[in-house]
Amino acid sequence: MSEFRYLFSPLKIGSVVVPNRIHFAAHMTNFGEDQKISERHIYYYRERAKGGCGLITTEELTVHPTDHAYDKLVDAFEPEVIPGFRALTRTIHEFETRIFAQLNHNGMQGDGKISRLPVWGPSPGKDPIFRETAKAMEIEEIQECIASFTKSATHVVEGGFDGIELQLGHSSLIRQFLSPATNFRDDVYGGGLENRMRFCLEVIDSVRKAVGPDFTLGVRLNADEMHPQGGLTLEEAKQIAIRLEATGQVDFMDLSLGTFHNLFLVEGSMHTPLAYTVPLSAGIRSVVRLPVYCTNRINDPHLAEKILENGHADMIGMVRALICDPELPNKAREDRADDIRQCIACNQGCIGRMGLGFGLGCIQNPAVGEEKTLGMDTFLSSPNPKKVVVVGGGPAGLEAARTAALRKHKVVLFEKNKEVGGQNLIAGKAAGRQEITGVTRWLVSQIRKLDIDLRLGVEADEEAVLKEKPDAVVVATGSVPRTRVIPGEYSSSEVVNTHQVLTGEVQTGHRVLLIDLDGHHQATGTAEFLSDQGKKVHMVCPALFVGGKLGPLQDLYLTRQRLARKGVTFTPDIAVLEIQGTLAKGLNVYSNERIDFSGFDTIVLVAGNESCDQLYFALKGKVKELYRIGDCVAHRKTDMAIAEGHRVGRQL
Amino acid sequence: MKTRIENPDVWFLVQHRQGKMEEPTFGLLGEAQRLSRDQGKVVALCLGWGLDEELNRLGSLGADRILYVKEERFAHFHAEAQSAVLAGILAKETPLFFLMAQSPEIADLAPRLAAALKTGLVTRAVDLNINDQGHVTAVQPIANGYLFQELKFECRPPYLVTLLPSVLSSEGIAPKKAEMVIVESEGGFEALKTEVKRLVEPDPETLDLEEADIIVSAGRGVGRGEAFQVIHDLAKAIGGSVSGTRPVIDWETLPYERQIGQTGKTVTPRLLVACGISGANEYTVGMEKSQLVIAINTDAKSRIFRFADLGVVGDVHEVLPLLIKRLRER
Repeated sequence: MSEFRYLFSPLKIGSVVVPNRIHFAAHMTNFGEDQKISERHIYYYRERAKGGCGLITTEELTVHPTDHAYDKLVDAFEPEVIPGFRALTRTIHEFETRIFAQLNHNGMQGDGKISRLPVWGPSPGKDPIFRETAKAMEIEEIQECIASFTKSATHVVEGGFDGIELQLGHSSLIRQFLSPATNFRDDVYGGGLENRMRFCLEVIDSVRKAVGPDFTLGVRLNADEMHPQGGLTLEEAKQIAIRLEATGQVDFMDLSLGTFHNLFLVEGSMHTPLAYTVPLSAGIRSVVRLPVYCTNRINDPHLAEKILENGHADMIGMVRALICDPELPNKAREDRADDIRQCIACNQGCIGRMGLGFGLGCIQNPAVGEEKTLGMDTFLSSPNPKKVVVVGGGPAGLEAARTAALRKHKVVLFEKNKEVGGQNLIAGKAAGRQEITGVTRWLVSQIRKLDIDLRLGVEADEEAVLKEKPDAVVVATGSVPRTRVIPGEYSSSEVVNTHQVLTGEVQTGHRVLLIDLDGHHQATGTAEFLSDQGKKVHMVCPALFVGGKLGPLQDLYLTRQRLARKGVTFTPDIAVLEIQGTLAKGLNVYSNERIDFSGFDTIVLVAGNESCDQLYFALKGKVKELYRIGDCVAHRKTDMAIAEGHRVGRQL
Repeated sequence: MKTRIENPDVWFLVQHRQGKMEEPTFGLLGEAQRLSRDQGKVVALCLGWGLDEELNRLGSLGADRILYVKEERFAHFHAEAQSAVLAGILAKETPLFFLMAQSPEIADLAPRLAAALKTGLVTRAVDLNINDQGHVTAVQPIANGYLFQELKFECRPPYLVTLLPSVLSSEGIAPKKAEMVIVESEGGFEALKTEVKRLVEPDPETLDLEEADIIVSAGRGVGRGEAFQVIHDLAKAIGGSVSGTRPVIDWETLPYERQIGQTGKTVTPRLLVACGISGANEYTVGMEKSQLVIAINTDAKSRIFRFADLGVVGDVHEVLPLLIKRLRER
């Protein structure tokens, strides 16, 4: 019997029985094509159904032309979507998994750039991200919107879905009506809670009439907007939940939190505790009898089981966890929990790509969105096993070795350090970044189970590689921080790099100037690391602000908050032209004013890396097959290291 | 207007082990006095053997009456027999409350008693209140202590409550002269389905972490292989159970059942010694309710020290051998 008693028990939701408590909850994918479900969608969701999750809820499907917040949104209100719906639901129903469709109107959380229509909201106001003034809906428009929710719902039923989830969460018109932070109407749709709920109740009532009493219908309720002032609170959400349950028309209560004022709470990164929304589901569950869902940063079946066992939720939403490892449910059930590739909430492959309009991905799982060619069904042993030498045990080399060994190649892996992991381990030493080493953790757990000749503490040169008589060589020797990027007279103890700081190779003085040409966690994470040691850190950067690349990851706000609280100071707009000792000579890139930064004991330079490609060029032309992957090609991030390692492993 | 409560007496269970009353008993006495609001009597109920002198202390500490069911087989805990005897007495006397202190034994006993009496039971309570209308509510932590829920009794007394020992305090108890009533056990033990054959002292090495009183916890800073032996040595010296952070489990130095944290066990021992642990949130969530925490780490800036009652900045491989040596000399 499985150690996950509750996780793998079925649950009745309305008229539907889901086989287990794992819910692949609604999330953007940017996989839509022509405003319809695409083949890519179908393969993507199928992979998760095959992986064993109990319930899938599709990404939001919009109900009205005024809602076109991003290019790839699927239009549920057009009858043309039905064939795509059917193809999707038929595929999912090959498994025990059930699938619901999420219907939404994003309201004022969008703009008219694509639709060329005004955005609708309960009242005029601007969303903090889109910053376009909404048009307050007229009564006729409210009625039109209710009718379009209803029409879309009939398309969902025709499309073969098992249920509907109405979005009342972090991005939704219905929530904008519910919330006193966005609804300032003085008619029957605004004012007290009863009035603010009117639109919501009318939508539910109309949809319920259209789909009939036996079709499963539920909501994703915002359990707490956590708005700085005047938004929905857990207490008010409880009142809404009670009222919704009392209608007798709602079958379940999925939950969400936050708004676009605090998107870092909606998509909590590794700087947010695991399972941080449990108090919300426990709170809502204490007032209703309907099944209540808990989602956000639940990346481990043991944690999920604990939440169910404690009675804090009935369903566990796992989104990033299943993006990262679609087989998590099956692995947990089969007592292989230690094989689960855990989401580390780096947000770099998933959320970091969403807002920019790119297809969904995952730094650890290169198959995301490519399930048709890289999914779990596509892994075949090599018909022609080779002797493969991989040099370098960072993420790229480990992934190449893992993939090649799985395909029955005979793999020798050289790593010059005593343990594998490469720069991934150094990255994990920066403040709050420990979870990033989950990349290495999983790869090591898999490498240990495979027949790989692991040579730790051995720096392979040309001779050592050739001595192995390999059929193929994969060079993954990584990169090292660039030195002397900025001209001037200074010693190696006056100007140091982040690797030296994070590994403890050097101790900086008390007053540190950190020159950030990175904009990513490497710079801010090192600044925070030094600040935690009691150092006084000042950051300069040529960008408009430090941490410029953290915005799409939803890490900017909390990073800036932590740095500010820890006394780190900033000067943006500065290009450092020259360093003399520990004096940095800067130029304001807008005013051309020259500014000296003096009075520091140490300068930390974050200026990118240069590839260690000597071995690659030494071997070029001397072995049958030669590949190079990861930072050895060019300095980039983990996603590329894994993608290239995987690609080579498949190609061999 | 105050509603009259039929029987305002507050009873509590005397909890004892190896012929000695356990500390929470005195806290229960304090709580019982508060709840009696000078209207009802505070009654200590003891199922035991050889406790006569011990029990007299309760009188001087403020109990009005001590009911002592003297029975040799009650020298040790026996959930089935004791719940049957307790149910018999409580059904007859129906006090307003019957208070117990949360412990592994009580977690076994209390639900049996509630079922036998067909009354309500609140476990792990942190507070109890009676309003002027006589409505009784209990407060219980949920969601890992992030939230508290208030529970209302909608049944007839006696209300059964097990309180968390950490909230019990015996301060401010007014002494009284108690009357001791010895109740002869009625026997009837032949019908029992269970029998205590032998008492097995738990082996701390194999004891479930969630039940362990003393825990030695090791992190990455301890190191693998032979370096880890010092942790087992310390555990042996202080009778503790060994546990680890996730990296230690990943190394397969300890099995998964020994992991503390959000993806492992949540523990509340009397003493936890954290060795070579930096104190990531994922770990501390699992141990922050420990009563006394001693942390040993080389880095004075480690987060673990925020959770420690005593922080030792040093290498576990220097500190622990000295400590173990001293303990062994005693």
